[in-house]
Amino acid sequence: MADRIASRSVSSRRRLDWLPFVLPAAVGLAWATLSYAGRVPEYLLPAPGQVAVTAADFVTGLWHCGPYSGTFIRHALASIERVALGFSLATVVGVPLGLLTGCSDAARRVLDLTVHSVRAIPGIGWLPIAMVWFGIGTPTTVFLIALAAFFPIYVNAALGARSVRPLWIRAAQMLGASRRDLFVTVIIPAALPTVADGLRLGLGISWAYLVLGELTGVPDGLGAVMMDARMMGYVQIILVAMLSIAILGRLSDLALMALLRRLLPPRFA
Amino acid sequence: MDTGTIQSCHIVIDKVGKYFANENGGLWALRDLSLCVRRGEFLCVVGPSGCGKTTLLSLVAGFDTPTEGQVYCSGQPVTGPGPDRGVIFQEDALFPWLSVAGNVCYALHRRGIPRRQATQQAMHFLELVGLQEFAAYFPGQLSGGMKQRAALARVLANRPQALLMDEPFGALDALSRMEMQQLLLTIWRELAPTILFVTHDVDEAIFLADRVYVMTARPGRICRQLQVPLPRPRTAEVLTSQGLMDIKHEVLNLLLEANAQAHSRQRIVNPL
Ligand SMILES: Nc1ncnc2c1ncn2[C@@H]1O[C@H](COP(=O)(O)OP(=O)(O)O)[C@@H](O)[C@H]1O
Ligand SMILES: [Mg+2]
Repeated sequence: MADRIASRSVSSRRRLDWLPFVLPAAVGLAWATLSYAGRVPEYLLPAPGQVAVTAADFVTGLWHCGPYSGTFIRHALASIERVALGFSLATVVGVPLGLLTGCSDAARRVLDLTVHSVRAIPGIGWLPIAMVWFGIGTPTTVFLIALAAFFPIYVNAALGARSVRPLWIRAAQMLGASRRDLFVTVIIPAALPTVADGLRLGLGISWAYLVLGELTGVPDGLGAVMMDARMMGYVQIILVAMLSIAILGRLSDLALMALLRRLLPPRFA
Repeated sequence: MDTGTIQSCHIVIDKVGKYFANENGGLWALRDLSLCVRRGEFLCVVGPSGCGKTTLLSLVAGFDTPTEGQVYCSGQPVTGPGPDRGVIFQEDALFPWLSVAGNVCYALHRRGIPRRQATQQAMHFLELVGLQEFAAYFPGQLSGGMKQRAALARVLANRPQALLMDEPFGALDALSRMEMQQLLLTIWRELAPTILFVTHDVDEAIFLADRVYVMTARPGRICRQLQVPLPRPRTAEVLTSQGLMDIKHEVLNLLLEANAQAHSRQRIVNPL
C-alpha cells in the first residue's frame, strides 16, 4: 500500500497529469463546434483558429495581423511591473502591520477599526479618487492594486499571529526568550503558513485590480489592450489578452508558491 | 512560611491561592496551598484531574501570578518565567518548524552560544535521551514518547536548576511510560536537578519520588505529605513491591476520602 502511494507520487512527478486539461479541451471543442457550424456571429465570438493565429501574432509578430502584432512582451511587461509594484507594496505594509495587530492588543485597538472600515469600501470605489490624485497611468494602477491586495494580506497575517499556540509562547519564555525573540523566533515562523495564504489571495486580487487600473486609458498593459481593442471591434485580441492574463496569473501564483515553499520549514505539522 | 524555610528550600509555595473568574462567577483553583521542595529533591504531587496541578506548576514557572500568597525560587519571589526553571508540558510543546536538533539548540542560541558549539551540546543531550539518530527529524515525524524525550533534551540543554514536569508521560502507553520514568531517574541521578513532578498516577508518583504530596480538588490544596522510603536505584520490581503497595494504599485512601467529602459537601449545597 505504502509502496503504491510512493510509486504513484514519484511517477506523477515525471509524467504530465492530463486530467486538468480535460475541461479546457472540452470548452475549446464546444467553442470550435459552435463557430464552425456558424451558430455564433464572428463579431461576438471569433473562431478558435482565428484567435489562435491572433495570439501567435500578438506574441511573435510573424503574421502582421494588425496594430497589436508582436506587442505582447511590451504589454505583458508593463502589466507585470504594475502587479509586482502594487503587490510588493501591499506585502511590505500588510505583513508587518498584520503581525503586529495579531500579537499586540494596543496595535489592534489602534488599527483594526480604521482598517476594517476602509476595507468596507469596495476597491472600485477608490477609482475616482485615485484618478484625481494620481491621474491616469501606472501610479493609479499600482495604488489600486496595493490597496486591494493589502486587506487579505493584513487580515491573514493578523490571524496567523493571533492563532499562535500559547503553549509555544510559554515554552519559548521558559527557555529564556526575550520579547523580541518571541516575535522573531516564535510568532513569525508560527504565523508563516497563514501569511502565505494571505499572500496568495493578495496576488490573485492584484491581477483583478491591474485590469481595473489599466481600463482607465493607459497606453500599455494587457488591460489597456483589451479596452482599446473593444473600441476597434477587434474581438480576437480581447480574448487573447484575457487568455494572457489567465496564464500570467497562474504562473505568478506558481512562482509565489515555489518561493514560499522554500521559505517555509519543510515539515510543518 | 518562615524566612528560614524560604531561604533553605529551592522552591517554596507559601499559602498560595489562585482564583479564576468565569461566566459562572469563578472558582478557586487553588486555596491556601503550601509546600516546599528541597534542593536536589525529587518531589511528586499527586491528585485527581482538575485539582489544579497545571495551575500550580504555571505559578512556579512564572507563567501566571497567584491571587494570594507567594511563590519563591532560590529564596527570591518568582516574577516571571526563566531558564533556571525548565518546564515539561503535559501536551507537546516542541516547535514544529524546527528540527529536533533545532529545538534543543533553541535556548542555546538565545544565550548567544555559537552555532557549532550549540549543535555539539545539543547532540550530547540528544544522546542522553537516546534520540541522537533523530536530530534531523521534525517533531511531526516523532511518536509521543520521542516527542517527550526531545522536550526533555531541549530543557536539559539549558542546564536548569529545577525541572517542573506536568504529567509528562500521561499520554504514553504503559511500556513507554516505564521507559521514560527510568530515563528520568537516570538523568536525575546524573545531573541532580530539583524536580517538581505532578501526576494523577499514584504508582508513578511513588515510584519516582523522595516525597509525595497528596492534593485534593475544589479548591486545590495539599491534604498530606508522605515520605517514600523505597531504596534507590529503583527498578521495575519496585512497582510490585510490598513497600510501594502500602504507600499506594494510604494515598488512595486519602484521595477517596477527600472525594467522598467533596461529594457530601456538594449534596448539602445543592439539594438536587
Ligand atoms: N485559565 C483558566 N481559566 C479558568 N479556569 C481555569 C483556568 N485554568 C484552570 N482552570 C480551572 O482550574 C481548575 C484546575 O485546573 P488544572 O490546573 O488544569 O487541573 P489539573 O492540571 O490538575 O487537571 C479546573 O477546575 C479548571 O477548570
Ligand atoms: Mg493538568
